[in-house]
Amino acid sequence: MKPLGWLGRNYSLGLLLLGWEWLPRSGLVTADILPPFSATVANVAMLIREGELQWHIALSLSRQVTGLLLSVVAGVGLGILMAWNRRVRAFFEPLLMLTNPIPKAALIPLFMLWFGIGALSKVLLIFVGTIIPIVISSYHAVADVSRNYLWSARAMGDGTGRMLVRVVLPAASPQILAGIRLGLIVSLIVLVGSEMLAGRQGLGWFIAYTMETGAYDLTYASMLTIATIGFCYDRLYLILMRRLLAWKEEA
Amino acid sequence: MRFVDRYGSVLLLAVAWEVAARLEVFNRVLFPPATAIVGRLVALAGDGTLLYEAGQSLLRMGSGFALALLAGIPLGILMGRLRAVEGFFGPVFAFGFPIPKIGLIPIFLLFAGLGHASKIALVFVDSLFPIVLSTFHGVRLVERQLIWSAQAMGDSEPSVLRRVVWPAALPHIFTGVRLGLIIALIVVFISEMVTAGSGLGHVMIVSARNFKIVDMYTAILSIALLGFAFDKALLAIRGRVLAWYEGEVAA
Repeated sequence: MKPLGWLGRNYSLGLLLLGWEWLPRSGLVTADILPPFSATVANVAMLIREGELQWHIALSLSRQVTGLLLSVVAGVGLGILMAWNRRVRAFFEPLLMLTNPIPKAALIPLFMLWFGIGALSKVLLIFVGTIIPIVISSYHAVADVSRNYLWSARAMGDGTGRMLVRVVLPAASPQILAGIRLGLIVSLIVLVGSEMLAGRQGLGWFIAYTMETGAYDLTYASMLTIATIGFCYDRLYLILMRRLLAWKEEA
Repeated sequence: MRFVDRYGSVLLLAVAWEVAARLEVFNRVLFPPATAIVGRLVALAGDGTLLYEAGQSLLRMGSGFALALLAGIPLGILMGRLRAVEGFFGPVFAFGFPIPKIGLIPIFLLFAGLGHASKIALVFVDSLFPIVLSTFHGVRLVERQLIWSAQAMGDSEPSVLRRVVWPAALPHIFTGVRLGLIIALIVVFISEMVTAGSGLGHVMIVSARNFKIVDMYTAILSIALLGFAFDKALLAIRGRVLAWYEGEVAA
């Protein structure tokens, strides 16, 4: 019953996939530029059997995870420092406000020249592209933590480190986690964009390469792969977020 | 003096850049002095080439983004007010949001060609998602009592929308529009770098590949200025339209 209910709620997605299958089969669109959904799934399976696809996936994801982890660690740390220290805030706030609206895609060619076309430039691009929303959301989240909580913790004899772990981070976590979700989505855009433009490996490169060589059926297979990864990634993150914040809902 | 106070750290970095470049601390070719970049920017703006390229980018980004506003806000409102519309579009937007749509660029190229249309379509699709989702959530979060009261006083649905739902949802709509704007800027420049004969993204990548480093920096600086100007303009509009709301929050 449950799968039927799920399908019933998401019937429009089913219609989209049916449309994808039907358009090339009916001949309205030639299969050259739109291979049917079933053929695309078969191509994904073929690429995995040949061992090609998982190599690019692993490489792309390792770049994305490294870059995002770096910016979470540095970004949350800087956000906390900014909320707690006036000098740190005075230095970084104008820098962040000024650089926040700059589309970080503009840095792709610059980082190619500075750091090469390998993993380093992609990791750094993801780091730079995602850190600002994470810093800003952590800063606001920590600054919003009620003074009363901090005073209570102090009164109970907590040191700064203990207070941070036991009071500040839990209280600030919903906003921090929301900032990281935005970072996650931006990191995938930057990853795919930068891989398309430079390098010889990774899913973004594979999409661009198959497109250039006219192997459109493989282009569709790799696009379906990146779409699935993006979707699953976000869902996993939302599940994790719900787990981490479960205590809050109950309260 | 207030300007120096606020943007001291930014000025400091600009001066540090200039000094480091003049002393040739880093690679001289990859790291030209800030004044050389600004000088080139002024020269290129003067002879019109920069304005032409920026115009191409703005045309693509502006049309795509304007279409996303025109389609996204009404769709989000309809989804928030009508169960059938939400049932159809809800899953599509929920599934599609985390997918890095820049990876789907080949579809746009295959169906819309190498010219303006493919970039406009990509900007449209990519910025549509945050706009629709935030509008939808904004409409959903409007207090039921307000709507019931309006209906009890004899307001018709259009009048409820105009007098209750629209003003109450507007802060959320602006959040989505701002996110959509950031994404539109990222996407237009990446797509111009991947495939275009004009536009600031194109200038940037071609200059980088031909080692015209100052030109590359000039394009990056123009993109940064554009991003900054757009964000400032949007915040100014937001401040004006939502003056009543900000007052409410402050009170």
